[in-house]
Amino acid sequence: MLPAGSISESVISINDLKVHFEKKKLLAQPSVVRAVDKVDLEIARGEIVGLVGESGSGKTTLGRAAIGLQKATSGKVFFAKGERTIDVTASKGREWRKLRRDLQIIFQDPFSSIDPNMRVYDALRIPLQSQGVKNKEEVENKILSVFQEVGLPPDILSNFVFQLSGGQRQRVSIARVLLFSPSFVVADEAVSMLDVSLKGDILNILKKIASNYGVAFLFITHEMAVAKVIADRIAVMYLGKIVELAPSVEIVSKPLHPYTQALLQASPTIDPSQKDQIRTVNIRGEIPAAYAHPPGCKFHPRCPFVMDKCRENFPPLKEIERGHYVSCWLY
Amino acid sequence: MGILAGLPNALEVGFLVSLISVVGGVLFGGISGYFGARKDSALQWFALVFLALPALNFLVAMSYVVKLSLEVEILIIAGLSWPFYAIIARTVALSIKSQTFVEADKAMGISAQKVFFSHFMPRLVPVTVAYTVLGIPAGILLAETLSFIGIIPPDLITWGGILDDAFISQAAVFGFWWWVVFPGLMIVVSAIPFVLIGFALERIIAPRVAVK
Amino acid sequence: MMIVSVKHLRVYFSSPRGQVKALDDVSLDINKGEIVGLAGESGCGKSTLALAISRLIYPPGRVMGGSVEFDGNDILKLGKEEFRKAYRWKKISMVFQGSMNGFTPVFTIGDQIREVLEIHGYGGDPKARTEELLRMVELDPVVGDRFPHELSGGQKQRAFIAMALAVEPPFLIADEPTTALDVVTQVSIMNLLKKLRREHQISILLITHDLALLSEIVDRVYILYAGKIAESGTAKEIFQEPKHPYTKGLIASIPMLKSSRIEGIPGFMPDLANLPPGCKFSTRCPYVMEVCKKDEPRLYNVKEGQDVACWLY
Repeated sequence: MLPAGSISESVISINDLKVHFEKKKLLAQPSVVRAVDKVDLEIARGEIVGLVGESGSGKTTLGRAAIGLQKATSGKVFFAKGERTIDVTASKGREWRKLRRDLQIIFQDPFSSIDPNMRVYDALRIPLQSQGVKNKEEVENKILSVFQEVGLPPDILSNFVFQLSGGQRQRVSIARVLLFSPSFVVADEAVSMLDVSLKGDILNILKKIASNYGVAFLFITHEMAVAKVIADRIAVMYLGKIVELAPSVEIVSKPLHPYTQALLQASPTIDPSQKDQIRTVNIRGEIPAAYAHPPGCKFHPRCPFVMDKCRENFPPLKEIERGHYVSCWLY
Repeated sequence: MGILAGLPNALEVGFLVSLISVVGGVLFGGISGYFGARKDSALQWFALVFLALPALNFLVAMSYVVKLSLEVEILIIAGLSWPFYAIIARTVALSIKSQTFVEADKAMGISAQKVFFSHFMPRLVPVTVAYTVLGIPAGILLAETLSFIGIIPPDLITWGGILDDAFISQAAVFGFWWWVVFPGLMIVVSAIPFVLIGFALERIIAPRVAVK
Repeated sequence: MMIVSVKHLRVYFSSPRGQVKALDDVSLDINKGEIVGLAGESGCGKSTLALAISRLIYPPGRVMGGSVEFDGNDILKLGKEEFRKAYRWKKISMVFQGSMNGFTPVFTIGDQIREVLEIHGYGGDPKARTEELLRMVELDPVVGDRFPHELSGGQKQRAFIAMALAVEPPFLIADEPTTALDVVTQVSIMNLLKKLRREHQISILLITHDLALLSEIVDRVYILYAGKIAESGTAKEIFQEPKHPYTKGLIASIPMLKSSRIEGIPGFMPDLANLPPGCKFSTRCPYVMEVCKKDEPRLYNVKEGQDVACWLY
């Protein structure tokens, strides 16, 4: 799938990716969880792509597979490094380790993604030194500069991580990622565990990094509103597949897929006049179990516009308008 | 008083036994937990074999086979005590392993050794220290028990040995009560400071070992 | 008509860092058939209030002063048994975050609800009542025969609400009841609470950090910051004409579909064991004045039904 641009600008190219988990059973057929089920996505240099989905959509698995932290069952992820194209999915050993510099991840929980028993300085020094930066002065300068980038005062460097608040720790996580000057970063629900008043700052830091350093982001979240604030394009994921992909302004003003429409209807707004109104979200039922995906279009049991066709055949992702793709038989 | 002569022996045995078994056990368990999967299972199986051996019986049997000296005795007792600590250390290691920061390090390409030393070691060391201190009384008791039942390097003065002699020569019957009371008392009393320090250490250490 | 009235409540915790003033002179009222929201971020003390009203504060926490009145009676002064027999679950019930995991996995949902009915001396037919309760929360009564692991998160949370309402309490405390659920389920739980208010006149204290969630359901709101009430008023006033700088900042930082940018509030909530002098928000306030750093502002009735604690007023 091509964004409004050309292949040569894509830094990450996900093709036909499938990640299936098999659970072997003693006396029965193994059950398969199709976490990521044939996904295509291109991300350009400096672009922030929002990946929106609820729990069970496969978004976290997709994020991990995109940087090689999760093994793919089939399909490929290509990383464009300068003139070369590297196959992330096939890399192992030394090559895989070298890729760790270019492909990074920010985790959701700031309380467990950095060792609380370390000093903040060491939490940054050790990864930096593992890259081969040995010179003490160089290390210190680099750490101070990333600290400035994320807006943290240098005096907390001598504190222990457990003395920092959640918001501060998440900034340290971002600083840690910046040490590597990566080309592509997966932000896995990076602001979901932070208080509302802190989210804005973190999102602004990430946006700044993307525009100043040309770092591409895959921003994973379950909140459409957050995705809209930070992302250039948004991909909506349901049960392992991307059901809609469009520029963020457009997907919010003109959602095409019924699931996207439902998500937007359920999105929070500030509207006290709604106090006594029952809010309707045009969707039925609940997300089905991970190993029992419905046939045909996976959304059909919950879709208000379901047709016979939907139950049997899976709708391919089609470009309806320039840059706006949907996977739905309505179009 | 010969009682005091028993002190250095008791302490030496207790301390060395504890040190060897705890350090050995913790390293074994820590590494086993760190590796996980098949290596872990294999190592655990190995440890369980030792755990199943009844210490005292084995020692008695060994005494007929091997000529006992202080060093040998220490090694054998330590060799049978370490699995206990290995299991504790492994549990700690496994809980650390499941933490996101371990995965984060892997995602940054940090080497396995570095991960072990920067996250696992700092958490295993306090456990080790606490248990080493607590293990000293256990070592003392086991050594004295051996001496009491007669398995003892002949040239050594130990409290258990004194008790043994006392019983053999029927000291209690004859009214020489101090032969019985003092060695027994020493065994108990010598344990107290270590137990207290050990428990205090454990209380301080334990909340920090649990990762927030 | 006031049903629950918290007056000047102070709850402190002793900790190695010093005394943590979780709640410091907090007052709020809940009327019959009202849903009152208590909003604040992590560390502000809101969950402590839920625990205090349910009398679940244990050492190292202590109620240092104030009262909680239910229909005029100070429930903090009652004996433990008396409170348990007369109030807990019968007059005051609670649903906490993660309550859905409060079901034991070895019994069916129906069994557990019937057990609650029995414990609280329900006179009628437990089977019929269980069915009635499940229907009330919009669950198919067949759910009563299911085990917790067979239900989804949303269903479990509803079932728990059913259990909380077993003996018809007029007052329910809901502390972050939807945080772990997906957006669509959140909306349906909120719809359920609205229905309970409308059809059964149940009063609810809804505690959450999610202001947007509150805005669409509550009648009145209290904004809690660092253990104190910063502002209170009707939903309309608070959300459309917020007065306190913290409230304004909070509302501005909520990501919404129509926003293109969100601003955070600089700084961090102070450590409740080491509070700064004067107004607790002074360290982050864009309108801070000298007086703010020295003296604490009291709650001032700035408009009919709206109170603010700020030197600007």
